[in-house]
Amino acid sequence: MRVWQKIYLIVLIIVAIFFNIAMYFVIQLNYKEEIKSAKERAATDQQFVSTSFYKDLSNVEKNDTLTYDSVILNFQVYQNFYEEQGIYLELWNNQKLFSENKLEIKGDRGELQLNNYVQNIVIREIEGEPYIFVAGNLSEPYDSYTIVLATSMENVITARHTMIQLMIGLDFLFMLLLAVILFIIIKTLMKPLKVLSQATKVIAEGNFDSRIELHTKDELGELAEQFNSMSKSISQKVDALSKESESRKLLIDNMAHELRSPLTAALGYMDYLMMANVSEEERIEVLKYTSSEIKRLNKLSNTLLKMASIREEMIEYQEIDTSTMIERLQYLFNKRISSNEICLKFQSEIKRLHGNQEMLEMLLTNLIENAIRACDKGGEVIVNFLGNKEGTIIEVIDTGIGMDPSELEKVTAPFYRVDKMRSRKNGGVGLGLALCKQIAEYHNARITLESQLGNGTKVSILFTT
Amino acid sequence: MVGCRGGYGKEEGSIMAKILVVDDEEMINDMIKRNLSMVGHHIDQAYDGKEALQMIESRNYDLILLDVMLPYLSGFDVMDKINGVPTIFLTAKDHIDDKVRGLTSGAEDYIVKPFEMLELIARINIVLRRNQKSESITKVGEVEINLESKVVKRRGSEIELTPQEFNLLEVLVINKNLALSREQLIEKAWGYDFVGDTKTVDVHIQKLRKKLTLEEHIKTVYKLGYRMEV
Repeated sequence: MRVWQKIYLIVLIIVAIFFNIAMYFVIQLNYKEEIKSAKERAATDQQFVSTSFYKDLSNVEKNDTLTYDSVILNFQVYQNFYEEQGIYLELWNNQKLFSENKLEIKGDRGELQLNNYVQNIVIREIEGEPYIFVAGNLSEPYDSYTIVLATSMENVITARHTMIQLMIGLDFLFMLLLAVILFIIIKTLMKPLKVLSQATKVIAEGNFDSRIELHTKDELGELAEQFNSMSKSISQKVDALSKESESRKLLIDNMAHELRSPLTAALGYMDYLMMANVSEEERIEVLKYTSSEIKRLNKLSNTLLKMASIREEMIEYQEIDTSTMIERLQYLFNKRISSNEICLKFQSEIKRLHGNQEMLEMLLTNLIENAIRACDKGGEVIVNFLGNKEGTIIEVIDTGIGMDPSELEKVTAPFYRVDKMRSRKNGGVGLGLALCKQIAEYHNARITLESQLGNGTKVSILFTT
Repeated sequence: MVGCRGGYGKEEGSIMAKILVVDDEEMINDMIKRNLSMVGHHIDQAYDGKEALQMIESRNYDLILLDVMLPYLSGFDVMDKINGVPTIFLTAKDHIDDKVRGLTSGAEDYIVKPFEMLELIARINIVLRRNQKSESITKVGEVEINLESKVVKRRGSEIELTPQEFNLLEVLVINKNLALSREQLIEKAWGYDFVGDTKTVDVHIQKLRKKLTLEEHIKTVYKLGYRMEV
């Protein structure tokens, strides 16, 4: 059963129960009040009759003696009068019935046991109809006389019946109205829930961009708001994950390409040499190509291994003497720069550097290599070691070809090369900067690049520790 | 790059097909050219997508070998612009979705690097045949071989060959100028299920030489196998 149906039924049932209970109490209370009123009316009437009759008897005795007949005669006046109203009177004198009574009363008359001047009221049923009997005696000197007044309670009963019927009718009408109105109200209140449910279904199906349009200022509105922000954060997460997955795929594709290409050429050449009948000249040429492809593969696998091992190794930090490092780098690049007529300068403000010597050398070698490659003949590469309050900075500046600022972000991605053709000719594989970035990260350092097409490049490494 | 055909019997060998090789790796491009030229195809080379499209526009190729990862224009983009020329994708990517994408983009075949050269040669042949771009008749010496109709004629008159003999001859023709080992010959001519030993190859080679007087063309290659020189 649906929630709204549950609420609906429960409310209806509770209202019905309470309403009916209330009505019942009202009717009962009313009935009791009516009976009380009837009793009081009867009592008053009896009192009136008593008082009047007393006066009558007094008057008679003033002029005459009281005889049975005169008593009866006087009394009959009252009896006749009240009989028209459906009220019956009886006159008793020491337990003797004196007057006519159309009512057939069986059993004893308890109300006749009177205490002084207090009235006794009894309700008795005569032929199925309830009657009020009020008995009271007259004052002295006639206190042996008892007047009993009997009046029907029929109208009280009838009234009660009428009320009950009215109540049932009202009940029915009321419940009908309630059912309709309550239905409408509940359905209206439930509408936002439906909207909410519908909208979340859309989102659950994968449309993380859709939002719930529910702007009421209540719990449902709040819930919708929360849902929207949840959906937004999921959408962002999904985007980020898919971007990451895509870039990972790209990385693997690139790596596959870089590994498989030299292999393909080498294998193909080997097969060729085995199967084809070629001249000695061609054989030597082909062997040379094969050899260079294998060397290329070797270089790539070395770089990849380095990158992998950096990740695994516990890095040892040392105090590195900068002038020693500079000497080693100068020696390393000596031949390169002389053949290209490139000027390589080192400048250092600081005496010592804190880090892993082997890695930092690798880092600088890579950067200097890139710088040299970027330069034409006569170009200049400057390496600066600087130190200030923020930390140590190493800069590698070249006057080479530079690159478009839009490339700067992508350049440290593995395998990314600005000009594939050119860098492969120079032996580049695209991993250099990625490796540098990794080494920098392990030293808690940051690499920043500044460059302009045609104006050279500056690579800065900022060590924060 | 220095001469590829080795200068063997230009007048006898036929140009099998005009093939465009598109790969940005110079070495691979060169390696493929050498091998395919050896078996008789005419090879043009392109090193990126733009260049490839220019060349396709200016010349009618029978087949294109297309690398997927190219600078400027991916292999798939080039594919969209080629109209109708049979294409085989070469690539280092071997995810299943790349293969599916390659094949559904209209390529005839999809080969993953690194590959066996003989495999490439065979697949090229299948694609050429499927698209009726292959030369029906190959001339070797005085022999005319029709690989389509499977009719072999010497000096105009038809020579009867058993199916086994013909299959062997076919393999030698398709891979002409390349030496094949006995095992390779068995596998390519008669399939993996063949029961028998390599001596059978020798016997059949002898028969072919005799029947077609191709002693000068079906050469024994020391320590390797046999080579049909054309």
